[in-house]
Amino acid sequence: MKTSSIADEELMAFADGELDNGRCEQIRRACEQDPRLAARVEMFRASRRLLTHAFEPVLQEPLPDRLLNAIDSLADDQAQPGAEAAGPLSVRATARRRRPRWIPALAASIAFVGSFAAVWLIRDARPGTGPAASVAVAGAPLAPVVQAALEHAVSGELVHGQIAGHAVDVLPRSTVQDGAVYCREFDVVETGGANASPQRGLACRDRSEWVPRSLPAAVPPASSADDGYQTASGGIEATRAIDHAMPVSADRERELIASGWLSR
Amino acid sequence: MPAVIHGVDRPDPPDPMSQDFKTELVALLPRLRRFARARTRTPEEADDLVQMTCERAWRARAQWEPGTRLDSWMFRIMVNLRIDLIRSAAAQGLAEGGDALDHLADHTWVRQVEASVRLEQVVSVMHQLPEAMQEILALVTIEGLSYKEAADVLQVPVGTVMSRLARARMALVKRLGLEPDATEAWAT
Repeated sequence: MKTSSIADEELMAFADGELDNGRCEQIRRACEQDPRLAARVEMFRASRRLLTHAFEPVLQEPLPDRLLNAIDSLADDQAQPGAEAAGPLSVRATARRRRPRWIPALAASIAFVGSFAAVWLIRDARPGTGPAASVAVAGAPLAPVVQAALEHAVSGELVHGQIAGHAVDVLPRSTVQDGAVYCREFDVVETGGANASPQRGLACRDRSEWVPRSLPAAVPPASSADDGYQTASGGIEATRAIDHAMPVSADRERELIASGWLSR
Repeated sequence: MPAVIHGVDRPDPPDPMSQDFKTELVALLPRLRRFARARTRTPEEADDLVQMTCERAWRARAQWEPGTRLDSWMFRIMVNLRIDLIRSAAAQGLAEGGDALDHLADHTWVRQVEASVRLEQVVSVMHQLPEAMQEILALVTIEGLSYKEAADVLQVPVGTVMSRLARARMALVKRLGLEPDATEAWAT
């Protein structure tokens, strides 16, 4: 219900003490004259109080031994040269290898990710190979059509092609920069196939080719994209998938494509 | 002079900052746990998230600039990690939170004034909000980051933080039965 001309964001900033003094005083006066405004400000204050109090007790809990031990053993790793990260970071560690490799025999690194989902990762998948052969490894080469789309198409530009005899559309979604490395998020969808749900991937340019950073995943349902999460440039998801990544503007993206991604 | 180890890249020289970094991690644990608890349904899940965050931070510690805020940097790692986990859960067909929201639609929250809202109820409602709302609420209203600091953590403009935060707080109070129109008595 409309109560006044002052936007919720500004009332909230007032409640949170985030406004400059001048504007603060104006809103204070407006609140004195309009009880409904004051109530709305009070509601923003109440939401902070409730959440603060609700989660405050966690701070007083004794720290679990498992966490303290985990941090202890992190320190121990430092003393062991060459000890490679295992556990939650294994996918990242694999993707960071200097040369991408395709190792079907290494069962531990292999993930079965569904019959079509995996196909786009495989450069030379032969038509007729069944789902059992369609496995993907983070770090495996991308199919040529995906390579070409990432190399030459701007974000939002649909590229048609084929992967192992399947007609597909590849859509680069966004570009981010992680230090000197460029990464792009993209969707692949089989056109006219029974499995028409898009798969989303993230690949980074290593020397002259694009290497997957993550295994393909079904495009998440509204969960992470709801609430206006996506920006116009779509850069947020990829930005968040890589530590310290910075979004690349559309203009910069065009320059990079024109320059062959600076041909590193 | 450091010895050369054959066949293995020479390890980094012992890092005098390692111990300090570890100490800082431990000091941050209570807040990391609180931040995680605001985002996950069970304490075990929250501590898993904290542990993974610490592991990732440890490996990336060379990228943290001493003198900048470690808490914000850690929150950013946890935010990214959480998104990764939700994605991989989605890839495995483990829908997160969907039925909880459906359930909420059938549930009638009794309108109450703030004083009578139980804190467990706040926790429960928080866990039923969409991920993006939980995230912004945890950063600003629970962890006390400024709008600017939260914008840095989430890598979005301050204006986005403000609109998302305002909507999230509205959603929270609404689900707690604290809509302003129902509580005009406050103003008097």
